[in-house]
Amino acid sequence: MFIVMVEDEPTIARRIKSMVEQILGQQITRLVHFDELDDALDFISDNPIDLLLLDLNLHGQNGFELLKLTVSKAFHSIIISAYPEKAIDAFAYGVLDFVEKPVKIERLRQALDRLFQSQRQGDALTRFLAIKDSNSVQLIELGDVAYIQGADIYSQVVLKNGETHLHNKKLTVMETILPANFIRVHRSYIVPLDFISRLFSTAGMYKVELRDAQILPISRTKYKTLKAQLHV
Amino acid sequence: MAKNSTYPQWQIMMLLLTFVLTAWAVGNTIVSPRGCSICAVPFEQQVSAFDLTVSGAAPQRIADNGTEFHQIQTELLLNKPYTLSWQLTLPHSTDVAMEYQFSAFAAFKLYWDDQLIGRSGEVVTTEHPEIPGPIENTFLIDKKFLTAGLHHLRLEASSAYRQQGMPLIRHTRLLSFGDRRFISLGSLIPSLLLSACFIVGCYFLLLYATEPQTKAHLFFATSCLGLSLYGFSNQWPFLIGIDYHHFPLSRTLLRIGCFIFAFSFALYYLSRFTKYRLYYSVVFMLLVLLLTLMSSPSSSTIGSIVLSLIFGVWMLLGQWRHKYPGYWLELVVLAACTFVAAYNVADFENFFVAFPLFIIALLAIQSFNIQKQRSALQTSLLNASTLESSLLRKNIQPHFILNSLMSITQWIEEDPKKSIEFVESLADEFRLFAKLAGQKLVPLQQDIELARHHLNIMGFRLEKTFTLTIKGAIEQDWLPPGIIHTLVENGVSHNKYTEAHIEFILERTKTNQQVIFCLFTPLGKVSKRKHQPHKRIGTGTGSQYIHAQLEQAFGVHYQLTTEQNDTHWVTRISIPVSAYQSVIAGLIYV
Repeated sequence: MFIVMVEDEPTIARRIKSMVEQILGQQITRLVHFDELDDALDFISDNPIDLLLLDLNLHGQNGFELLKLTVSKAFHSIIISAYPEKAIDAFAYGVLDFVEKPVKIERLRQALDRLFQSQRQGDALTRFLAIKDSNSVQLIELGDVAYIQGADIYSQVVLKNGETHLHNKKLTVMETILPANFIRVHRSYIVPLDFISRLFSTAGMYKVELRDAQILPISRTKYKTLKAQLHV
Repeated sequence: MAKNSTYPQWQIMMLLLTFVLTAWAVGNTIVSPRGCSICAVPFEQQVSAFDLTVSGAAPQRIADNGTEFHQIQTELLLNKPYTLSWQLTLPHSTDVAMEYQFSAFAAFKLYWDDQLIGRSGEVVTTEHPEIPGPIENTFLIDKKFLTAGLHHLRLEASSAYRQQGMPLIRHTRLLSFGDRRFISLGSLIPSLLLSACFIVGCYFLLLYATEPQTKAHLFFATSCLGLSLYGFSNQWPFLIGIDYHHFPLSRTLLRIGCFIFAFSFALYYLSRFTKYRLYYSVVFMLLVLLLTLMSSPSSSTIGSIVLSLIFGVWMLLGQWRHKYPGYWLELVVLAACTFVAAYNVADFENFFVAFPLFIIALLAIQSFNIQKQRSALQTSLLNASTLESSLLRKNIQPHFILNSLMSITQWIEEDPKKSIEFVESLADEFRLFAKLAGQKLVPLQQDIELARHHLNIMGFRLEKTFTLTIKGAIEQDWLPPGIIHTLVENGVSHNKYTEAHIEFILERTKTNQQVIFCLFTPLGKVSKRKHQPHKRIGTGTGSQYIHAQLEQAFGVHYQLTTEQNDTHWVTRISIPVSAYQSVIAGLIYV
């Protein structure tokens, strides 16, 4: 696992590093430390990293601009911060976890464990998806999303108004940060539960019809659980 | 605020009222005819010329001055008994009694068709000297004497105490003694307004006593009291009566009151709008002018009042660019007062109606300002307590402590000695913090010590060396607590330093006018992105704190500027030497 850590206090950086090493051990392929975000972002854009451990002094708008930038990337971000009051905001932008300082090793372990869970426990507080265009980052409200389609290492986010956007996260990564009402109905599709109008089968193929009359495929196993969830 | 929005409404009402009253005052005579405190219709009468017979000499004919009041002036000195006789023609008889108002500077007996109808004092005789009587007299005449036709009036009198310039008879009037169960409102106005002036004067005197720094209150109090003295002296003969030989005393009091008013009213505006040291010369000239006017007859003393009113208007106009709430109200009402006073100097009572209106306007403006001051005071008190806690909290902020604790956990493992040193440094900073918070001013050295503690702690955490170098003598300096500390803290937390040693410099200089504290914060690494290298002073809570603290200590007498040069952020605090020294002196000696 390729990890980048951003922390401006050397002592704290050493502390976090030793904890991460203790938890992940041999799973770490590389761990790079930066003491500011500027250099870290440069590094991130050139290297395929798996995890960003970020100390973001979230005072002022700039903190959020940077947060939007990092969460629009393909990798997961875990915030390690001494500003617990900013946790909700951070989650809204789609970070995997928010660990408060001083960091307890058990809490950090729990956060890192989430990386390996195929599905989120359903308590994600994400409200936005950060989409990076050529030069800016824009936020999309989850409520505007019709469905998300996996496209190789990207995800295609289709909005209710028909717009589509590419997101850097894979569908499996996306799944972990999305709230529980976003259902992985198929290998290639995530659909918000409240946007499903009905389930049906034709010629042995299971289908889901969305409220805007689009029809998407649905896997056999999901059909049953979904049917129960929708009470139909 | 609700108060703010209702304020202009009654301000407009006051203005309207002023216009109406002014128009009325100019159009008519508001107060009853001059010299008469009772309003009733004068009886039509024809009065012949007056024949004056000084004992032993031949009668001499004196014409009255032709006004409706039959005033008699004579240059003759009448220290011997004399007789004055005249004739009065009534066009018709009357079925009610009448009163004869008779105002004279004499001791006398008055006869109506040889019937004694009244007396005043004791006329001089060979046995005893004259006993002066009151100036104003009113005698009742029974209706049986009031037949149509010619009547003979005779005054047997002596005026031993009469001085040059006094009239012999000030006025005589025959009034019907009709339906007059009540004193008319018109006749009450002067005395009511006198009382109002007096009470307001006392009120402002009390205001001044509780707040001695507001000289304007004192001057306004003396203006009001001066004016009430003036008014009282003017109305003395009608209010409580005055024996004619005391008349000069009332005139002197009148002039004194007039002088007090004119002088303090000018001072009132000077003290409000100017550093009146500059205007002492003007005041002095005014004083000389007034003193000159004092020596002239009474209408000129009124001139000095008008002069000082005009001066007030002029001062108000000078504030044209610095209008305050209520400016228009005050200007218009005072201008109206001045107009009323100047328009008819002879009928000066109108001014006594207009001036209390001005007092009411001032009271209204004042009550509005008091309300504003109170809310400002509350805000500043609130600020002060918030500041104190924010100064304490600033370094006991959760993130500061949490980050520090996390560092400690690491040092406990890798370098226990260092963790002990760090904990001790933290303790030093907090201890000093607790000591300084809540004080208005602290020795600058202590603030520097606090800043150095902070730099020490941040040095531990960031594994760098931060120093604070002092240039200039600061041993005698005092500043509100936490100023330098806050600036240094801002510098450390908003800059990304790459060097191992970072030097902050505090430079203290003094020019003829200013004491200047200048903090040089080294610039950190410049970000490639929008992310600013250093938060500008003037945006953060840190600078709010600094502004609030400096304002609390020095009021408006300070300047806080920030600029960036190639290597440093330069934060400059300049305070005028006089303000700085007086604040520090106040701190030490009070």
